Amino acid sequence: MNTQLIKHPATLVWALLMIATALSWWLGADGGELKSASIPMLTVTLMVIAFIKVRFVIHYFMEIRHAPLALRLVCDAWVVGICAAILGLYWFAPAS
Amino acid sequence: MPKTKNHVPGEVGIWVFILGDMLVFGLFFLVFVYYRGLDVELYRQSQATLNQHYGAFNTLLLLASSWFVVMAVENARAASGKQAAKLFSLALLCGAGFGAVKFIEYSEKLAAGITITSNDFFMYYYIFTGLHLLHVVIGMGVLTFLIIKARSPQFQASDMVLVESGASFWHLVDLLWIVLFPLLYLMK
Repeated sequence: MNTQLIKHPATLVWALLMIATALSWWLGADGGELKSASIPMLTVTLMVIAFIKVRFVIHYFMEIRHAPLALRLVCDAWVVGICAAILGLYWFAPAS
Repeated sequence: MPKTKNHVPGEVGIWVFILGDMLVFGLFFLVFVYYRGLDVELYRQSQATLNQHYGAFNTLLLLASSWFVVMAVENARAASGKQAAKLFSLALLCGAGFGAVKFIEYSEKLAAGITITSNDFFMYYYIFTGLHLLHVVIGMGVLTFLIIKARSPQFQASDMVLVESGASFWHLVDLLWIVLFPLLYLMK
């Protein structure tokens, strides 16, 4: 493999995704020791990190950043829509 | 990267399938969070029995496999089929690693008497991770096909549509797990 491919934007994105995963892993494992007031914010943070990762995968790995506008919009609408709906259902859950 | 702007990676048909799959899994995620909200304690207690390290390690495996696939696609574009086949093989190996971890995880759960009928949390856990694992297995079949294709001396530019379609499907497998991991293993 030539060095140009190592400098591919997807490589930087991949490094960031690995770091974000390690961060979520660490945050999630520590969650049990948190005060109950910080738990909802922790969950929101973890889900937002996940959907930012998903957007990076869609745009840089699936190459949607070079795709026609309609496909870009549909993908971004999924990311924003599903993330917002998850957070809404979580935040306004009756039993929590 | 693709030579032209406004380029759909792979067949339009595969994108109909990918978007449909994303919609179905999106609904799964919402159903899970809704029912979790009705019995948070049960979901928290059940989640505490999961091994987060398996979930996190599997996320890293799929991310690594996706990077290999991106590099394989770039090599295929540069008409370097042999190099592409090697990189697809590394991605396939990561997929097999994911399956092995899942096998260990399921075995541990079943040995502890935790099955799909244990409670609602585990019903979703087995259905979502099981359907995702099915995607991993199909994806590994797709990668195997791409390895054979890229190795063939007749590999040519017109095969790129197939390569991009298969690669996009593999990234979908990665993408779905990126959400399933915090949803099932981490959400408090």
